[in-house]
Order: sequence, then C-alpha cells, then structure tokens
Amino acid sequence: MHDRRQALRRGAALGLAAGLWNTRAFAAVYLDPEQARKVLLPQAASFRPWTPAIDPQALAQATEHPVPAGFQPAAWEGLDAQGARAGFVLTDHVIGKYEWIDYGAGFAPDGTVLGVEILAYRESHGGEVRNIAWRKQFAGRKGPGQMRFNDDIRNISGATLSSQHVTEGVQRLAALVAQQVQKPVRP
Amino acid sequence: MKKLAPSFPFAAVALAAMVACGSAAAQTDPELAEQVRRLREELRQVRQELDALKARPAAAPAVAGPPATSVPAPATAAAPAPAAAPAAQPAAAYPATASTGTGLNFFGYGELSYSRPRNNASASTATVGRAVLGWGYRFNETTRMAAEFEVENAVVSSEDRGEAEIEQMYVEHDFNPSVSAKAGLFLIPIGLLNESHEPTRYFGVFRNQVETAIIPTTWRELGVGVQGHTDNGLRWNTGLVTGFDLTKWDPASSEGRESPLGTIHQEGQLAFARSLATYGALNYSGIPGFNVGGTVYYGGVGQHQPDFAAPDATLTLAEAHARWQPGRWDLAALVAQGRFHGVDALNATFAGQPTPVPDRFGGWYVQAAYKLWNNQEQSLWPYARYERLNTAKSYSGLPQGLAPDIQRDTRTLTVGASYYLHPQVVFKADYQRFSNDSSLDRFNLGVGFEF
Repeated sequence: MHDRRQALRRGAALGLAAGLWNTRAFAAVYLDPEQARKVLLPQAASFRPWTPAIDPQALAQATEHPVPAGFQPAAWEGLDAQGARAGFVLTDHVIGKYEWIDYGAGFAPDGTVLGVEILAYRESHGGEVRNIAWRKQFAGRKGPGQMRFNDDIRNISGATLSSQHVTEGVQRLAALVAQQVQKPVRP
Repeated sequence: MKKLAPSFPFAAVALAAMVACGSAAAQTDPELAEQVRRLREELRQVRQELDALKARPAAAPAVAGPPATSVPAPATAAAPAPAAAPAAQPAAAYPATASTGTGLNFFGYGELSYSRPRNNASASTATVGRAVLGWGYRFNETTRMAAEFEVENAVVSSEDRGEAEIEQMYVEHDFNPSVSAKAGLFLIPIGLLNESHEPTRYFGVFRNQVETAIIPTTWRELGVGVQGHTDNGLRWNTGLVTGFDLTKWDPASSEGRESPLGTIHQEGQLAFARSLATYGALNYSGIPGFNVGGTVYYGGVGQHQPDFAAPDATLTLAEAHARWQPGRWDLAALVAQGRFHGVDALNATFAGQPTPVPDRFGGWYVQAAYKLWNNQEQSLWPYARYERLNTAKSYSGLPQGLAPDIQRDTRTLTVGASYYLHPQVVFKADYQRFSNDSSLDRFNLGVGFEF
C-alpha cells in the first residue's frame, strides 16, 4: 500500500512538472492595449483613436442585450502605409462571474471580425474563454446578429458566464464598428 | 481628460477669429491662400495633439478599475443607461482595460424548493435549500482570495436541521498567465457539478443523484491545488488535500447507504490530516460547445487512528464526463466509481449491522435538454435525465450470511423544464420516477439565482 501511494505521489509530481512545462510552451499571452492592437490588426501601419458615439438604446436594440452603464470602449482606426483604412480595434471589459475580463476585437474595414483576444482574466474558473478555438468562432462574422450566444457562438461548459458576457461584449463592439464603417476615412 | 472637452471648441473659435483677422489683413489672393494653408496646417497639428491626449487614458495599461470596495454590476444585469445619458462618458469612468488595482467583490446564489411525494402528500416540504454569499478580494493582479459562506435549510440552531458552513476559503496566485495555485479550503475539480453547482448551472430542481450520493457535492477539502490551462483547450488540476474520515462511519445508520462519502467527509472542520489525498483532473474544451474530462482521487481514509480497525484504509474515486451543446441541445453524461480498500477488518466488527462499508459503489447518468423557446434573455429548456447508481455494490470482510443483501441499482428518471427569466434566474419544475421504489416518486418545484 505504501509503495502504491508513493508511486501515485511521484506520478502526480511528474504530471505537474509535465503540465507546467507544457503550459509554458503553449502559454496564452496577456496583452496590453498596444500589443492587442498589433495582434488584432497587424496590417495597420498606424492607429488613430476615435471615440464611438454611444446610443445605449440603439445599441441594446442591435445586440438584444442591456448595455452596461457608462459603457465606453477604447477604439482605434487602423491605417495602412498609404493612409487608407485597414480596420478597427476596440478594447473593453466585461464581468465574468464577479471579476473583470479585459478583451479586445479587431475588425476589417467592412466590419467583419478578424479576431478576439483576452487581455486579462482574473477569476479561478472560466478562463477557458482564452481558448483559441472558442475565440476563433467570432472570426468572419459581421455585426451583432451573427454572433448570438449559444446559437452562433458556442458555450463553454463550466465557463458559461464568462463566455456569455464576452460574446455580448463583442456584439456591442461589432455594432459600434458597423456604424463607423459607414463614415469615410478622416483626412 | 475632462479639460479636453472645451479645448476643441476653444480651438475652433480661435481659428475662426484668426481666419477673420487674417481675411481682413490679407491684401492679395496669394497672401490669402498662404494664410489659409498655414491655418490648415495649424488645425491639423491641433487635431493630432487632441487625438494623442484622447488616446492616453485608454492606452495606459494601469488605469483605475473598480473601486476597492465597489461591486461591479454584471454586464448582463446592468440596466440600460437612460437615453438622455451623455453620448460619450469620460474614458476614466469606464476604463477599457479594467484594473491593475485591488478590489472586493461579492457574489452568491440561492436555491429554494418545494417537493411533494406522489403517494404521500402529507410529506410535502418546502425549504430554502441553500443561501450562499461569497466574496473575493484581489490583492493585486496575480494574487486573490475567495470565500463562500453558506446556510442550508434556512435556520441553524441545536433544535433545527439547518447547517452553516464555510464552503470555500482560499488564496490563489497566478505564477504566469496559464498556471495558478491555491491554498486553503477549495472545491475538488470533479464531475460536471462540483465546481459549477449554482442552481442556474444544472437541470433539475435538485442536483442529480450520482453527483450527490457517489460524488459528494459540494465536495471541498483543505490543501494545496495547482491548475493550468493551455491555449488549445486543455485544463489540468492536481493537488494535495485532506481526505475522508472513516472513523465517522456508523454501521447502524442508513446514512452510509445514502452517500458513502457524504457520511464521512470532513469539510475543513478540525479535519484529521494524518493521511492526505491526491487528485488529478483533465478537461478538454478545445472544441466549442464540447467538454470531456475526468478526475482520479486517491487518499487515506483510516487516518492512522489508534484503536481503529482500518487505520490504513484508502479510497479511490474515479469519474469521467462529457457535455455537448450543439445548437439548441445540451447533452451530458457522467460515470463515477468509488472503491474502499483495506476495510475488511473494520467490516468484521460490523457483522450483523445494516450498513457495513462497501467495497465498491458507483453510478452514471445521461441527460438531454433542449432550448424550446427563447426571447432575448428568457428561455425555456425541457430536460430529461436517467440515472442509475448503487451505493453498495459489494462488501468484504463479512462472514458468510452476515453481509446485507446487495440491493438493486437505484434507477431514476427525471423529466421537467427550466424557465430562465434571465440567464441568472431560473424557475424549475420536474417529476422524478424511481423505478425500484415508487414510494419515492415526487413532484418538485424550485427557484434559483446566482450573481
């Protein structure tokens, strides 16, 4: 019995070491907004901030979800080397279960989602929203109507609140970008 | 930042004044054109400076987050801002990156139920099953604590049947973005329910029987645990924790038959810690909407207690689960098996008693739910679950003829529906049919919420 227990403990230690090594090798990278801009819109040579005009009622109607009070994401318009619009990057935060999740999304000039990144996750459970496969679900979708939680964007078992709230957040950003794509590039 | 608002109109007024003055002073068309060109250049510079100033708070990674004692409202729960709200709030009031500071947050859940046996209406009961208040404090961006205080069945006193307990209390630290460790009293990562046990997370007025009688949710232990994630959807957990206390086993009571582990858990209360336990868990969520995983737990239960017949007894509990949520469906399955080792000598002292320690116990369930209707935040989910379990599949150490009969598996069909008024508020109704004991058949109603 003693030998068996020792073997199990050694196995657990080995598993832990292997896990540590593996997760370091595939570690998700937390990003600050500047890094997020480069990751989400690498084709942009420069970024110019813009302040989205927030109409909570219109936004709630477009996304079919209430808009958090004071909602005001940071937003940038990406420009290529010739000064043409390369796309948009917006960063925001939502509540997971009880802590903030920082996230960002990159958009093509026509408003199509290019990618979603989790900038920071702070809770014990629900960190699976950082999974590449889950975030990839947003790519290629355009507008909040194409990213409805549980219909277009699949849930993560055990991370329901985090995945739902991030999805709703990206819907809000997509709605803001949909307004902005109508506007010409500022000289 | 607030000073920026008037700065742009001021620049525009100044510019208009300059244009007016410039027009008056200009004598020839070339001079006028040159002045316009210079003014245009100045305007461009002013605009660039304004953009740079606007970018500062948003780009800075270390802006103030939720105040240290504030409770951030869940995004989905937040009421829509009034239409008259200013179109653009100052960025500092709603930072696009949340915080690098500290913060105290509260969370919790509640579940209330009514249960009416089909053949014995006089035994109907209603209770505040669980009222839980949790709090978390973030010391900095990598170290935090969390705790939950729970009251079961509303009233706690020597004359009542309620319980008050600390369900979780731990400190957690992130070593890097993918690996964290916790120390304290925490939930064992096992099954579909133990870590996600809020009433909005599972179907059924009551938790399923396999994850109650075989896996003793809400199962927590004192110790140290490590958790890691990979980008491709793998989560692993391992840890060294306190275990069960077999000296609590009462062979004259039926409790051991209701839940072999529920009757000997220690729950962080002056727990015997001579024999520790280890666990390892793997979960894969790399395919959106799909999760598969399992846990193996092994540890001493005899606690090397002197004058106890099974001081070296151990327990192994293994579990595997899968959950698939394609489209409107939510499908789940789980199997769990437990085994006590080294209890022969103890059972020999229990000869003739109704509830010796079983060698093996276990069960499984399959469950299907379907989102029949939804409208914005509301949805209706009919569900059905079939469970089969046995809390005592075999015994050892008992003389021939003195072992209790092995009872047939408990087979239960639960059919009902969950109506979500909001993703975090649920009303439930279901009917449970017990195939091998129809006297247990019952109709249940429940309401639950979490925040």
